[in-house]
Amino acid sequence: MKEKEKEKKILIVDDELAFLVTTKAILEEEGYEVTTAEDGFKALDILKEQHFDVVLADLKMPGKDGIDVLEEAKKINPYTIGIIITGYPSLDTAIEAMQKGCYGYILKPYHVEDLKQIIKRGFEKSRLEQEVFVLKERAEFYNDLMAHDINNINQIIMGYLGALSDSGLSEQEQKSCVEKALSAVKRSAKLIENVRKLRQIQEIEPEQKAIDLTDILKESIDTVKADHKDKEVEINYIPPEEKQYILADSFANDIFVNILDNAIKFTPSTKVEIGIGVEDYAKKGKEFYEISVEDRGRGVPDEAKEAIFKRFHKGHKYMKGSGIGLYLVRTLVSRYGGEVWVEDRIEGDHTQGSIFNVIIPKPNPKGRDNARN
Amino acid sequence: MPETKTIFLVDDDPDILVLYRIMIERNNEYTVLDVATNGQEAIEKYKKFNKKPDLIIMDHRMPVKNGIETAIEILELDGNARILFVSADVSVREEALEIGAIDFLEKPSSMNVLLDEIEKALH
Repeated sequence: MKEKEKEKKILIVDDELAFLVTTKAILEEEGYEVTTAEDGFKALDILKEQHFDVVLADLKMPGKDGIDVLEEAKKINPYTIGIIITGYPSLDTAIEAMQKGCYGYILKPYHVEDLKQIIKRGFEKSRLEQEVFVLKERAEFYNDLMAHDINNINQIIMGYLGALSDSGLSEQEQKSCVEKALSAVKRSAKLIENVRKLRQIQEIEPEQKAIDLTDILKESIDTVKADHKDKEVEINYIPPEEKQYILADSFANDIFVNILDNAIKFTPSTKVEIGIGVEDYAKKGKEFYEISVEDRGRGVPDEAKEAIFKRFHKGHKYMKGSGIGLYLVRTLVSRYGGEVWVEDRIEGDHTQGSIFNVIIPKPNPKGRDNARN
Repeated sequence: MPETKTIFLVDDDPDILVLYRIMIERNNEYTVLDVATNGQEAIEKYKKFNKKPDLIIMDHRMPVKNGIETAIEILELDGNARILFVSADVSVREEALEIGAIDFLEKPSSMNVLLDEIEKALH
């Protein structure tokens, strides 16, 4: 608990040195990380450099008064909670302070308990405001997903089902329309599943253990093959004789299901050929397995090689990411301390297909040392 | 033989490209000239066409370059280009029309609506 309090940062601004020293001591005793400034200008310099959850500012200071400091602090970071301290309370300044977004008001000299109380409530308020922001972003993300991605898939379903009601289709063509519509429905279900997974991993703390990579790859292959009955999918993977373990959790399947899914989706021909290889990989003294998934699809142009793993950023008028499958892949791989990137199957010609490379750490070989004893 | 009208499809979703092609080419008067899966590819292909397509069907949200940016560049290259937006992102409807797209269809739209729109644009 104390460890967490350390991260709670307060800035106190007052031209009265004795006040700064005592208040700092009291709040540090409570476990807060306290910084002080003797005037408003110095305070703003500090605020531009680092983030504070709570700023305590004296109302009357030469140069820049407390209300100005708090107003500007809020402009720099909207979640900063401002509290005014004053020895000269008046209704007018109290009203002005509140109007300018200050959270509270404390009188000088203060009772230590009152100070502690208002600071505690200030942090609570800051935390809630940040939470609201995160939730809003998330709501927007889901809203966008429903409005855009689902309707894209609905377009496919509507298109093929609409065609069925036309006369003049051969039996073969009718069958093909139904298959394609069904496949789109599966895609929609997959999208919803990915959204659910994303939500879960945002909420669950990772609990990683050694997981059999071969099992994961085999299961992933079976899953995508079952999902793409409308295409002829051939996935070449030779399981190794010795077991290969990665440090991951139960979501690891989703990495490969999504990469394979993507490879199938972006292969224009109905015959899909994919190869999977696993190699040892070392980086900065850490050991990984590198899993490479090679396809003969449409490929990824250089400008999109990074963007395909991203999705929706608030404030970007034009969004250039795509889907959420690969975004989920990147989120999971990063969670395991690994990396994912894409390169051309034939260097320099992206139209010949891609290789998706994933590196995931191996479990620590601590068992070895124990075994010697 | 009467000359067929040519259509250039731009959409990052391969399933959508397959759907459009099937539906459009059921009408003997139309041929899909080519497809592109992102805006940059669309512009590069457009520059190389000896004979420009009679109509471009344009998605908006695509990697590398989105539909609006792509349409602006294509219209700068060729003021006569006819671009029909078909996108699930309705927030760019106004902008698409402002920059000179002939119309904006919201996904999902029935294929009959799309084909009527193509018919209207090409006759």
